Amino acid sequence: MSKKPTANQAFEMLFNEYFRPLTVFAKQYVRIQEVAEDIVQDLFLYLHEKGDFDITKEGAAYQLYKLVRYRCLNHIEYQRIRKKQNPEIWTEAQNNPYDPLEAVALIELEHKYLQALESLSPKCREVFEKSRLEGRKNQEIADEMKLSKRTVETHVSNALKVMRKILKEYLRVIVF
Amino acid sequence: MEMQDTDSKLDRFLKKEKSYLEDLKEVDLKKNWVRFQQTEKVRSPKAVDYLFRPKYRFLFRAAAAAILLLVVVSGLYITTYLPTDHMVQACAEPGHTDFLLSDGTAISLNVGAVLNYPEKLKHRVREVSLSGEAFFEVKRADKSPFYVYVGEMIVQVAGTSFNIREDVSGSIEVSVIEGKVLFYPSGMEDEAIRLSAGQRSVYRADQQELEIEETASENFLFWKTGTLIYEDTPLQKVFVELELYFKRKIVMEDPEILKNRWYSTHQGQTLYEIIDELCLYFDLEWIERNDTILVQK
Repeated sequence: MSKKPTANQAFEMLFNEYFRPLTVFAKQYVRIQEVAEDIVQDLFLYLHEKGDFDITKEGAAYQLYKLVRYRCLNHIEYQRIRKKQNPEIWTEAQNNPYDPLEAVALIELEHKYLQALESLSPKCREVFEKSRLEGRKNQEIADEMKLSKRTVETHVSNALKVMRKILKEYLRVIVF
Repeated sequence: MEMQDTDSKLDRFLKKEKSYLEDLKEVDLKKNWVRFQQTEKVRSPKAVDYLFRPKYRFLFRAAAAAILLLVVVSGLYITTYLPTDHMVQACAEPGHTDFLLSDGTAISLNVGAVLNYPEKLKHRVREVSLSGEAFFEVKRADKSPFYVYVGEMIVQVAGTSFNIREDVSGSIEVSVIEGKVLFYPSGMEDEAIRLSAGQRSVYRADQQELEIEETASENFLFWKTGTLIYEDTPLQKVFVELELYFKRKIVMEDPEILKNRWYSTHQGQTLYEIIDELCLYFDLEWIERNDTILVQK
């Protein structure tokens, strides 16, 4: 039953899994969403042409972040040189007080969380977001969405089940 | 236990303020996937890359090796086999011999002249050596002077035409038709004299300084052109030239006659025909005695 995914399918999975967290990670360096997207797009093109990237290898995910980091630093260096040559086009100081590599775990976790949210049914997601993100009472939500309180509780508990399943691995590692 | 731990962690995580969630939501995954696929498609045909793949790299190595070998072999061939410095000797046949050097310089050799020259002249300096009489029309090339080594003298030019005559006695005469010529003894370039068109200079072994004379005509090229032109020339000079060019002794009985002047162009005439013409004009007679031509009233 479990068919081995083709190379293209595997790559799409890699893309789906990592594009967003990598972009957010890149954004920590370059600050601009579009630039971050460009950098990560470029990285994926590079990976696709190289064709031998294996995400299942140990440390491969971390490798991805490092690749993005290099590209970001290159970009910043390039901007810095441009700034040196044309000081007037560079107004914002770009000093990063912390290394975004430290944020990788959190970005990944929140990405997983987002993926978990996206995997829920729209109703379930709405209920869950109201409950956990907005901190509303189950009764309030039931009234607002014209559902029974019971249904709201079921949705929340289902969502939590999914969360637990998806986030388990990540939660074990991370320390708050 | 672990379940509890995870749950409490999850609980804490869910309550925690999300630092990156909004950023993550802002990244449009579908749009980016489409964009990636489009870019990838455009970049996909990797015709050039293909050749650089390890699989084909040996082809490049082989090609590079072949080219290198070719260069080395042809280099060796050129330096060893091509006749860059191969010397050629040209001797004049009866009459005179015309030929071209590799640079386009035209040379006429008079009877008995010998010219040594490289089959292929060098680019920096063009050098030939001469004994006897020759006429040169040197191809103009300012950056590669043309040297003629004749006896103890050197004639240096850039591009001109001139005549060199070396006698058995070792005297060397250079007459310039066109352009400029430097004339100097070997190794004494500082003492070079500069001859312009219409000038000549004669070097004799016993003579201290070179002098520049004006050449009245181009009759010195008679050996080549067969033409003698006299315009208001004293007969004295005419006879000297005839003696020189026809290598015959001419004796004039009455020196008074030599003061007369002569206008004429002789093209392809023999000595006898010219003497006949002269005698007719000045009312003279001539007889030949022991290779000497005697002219009298």
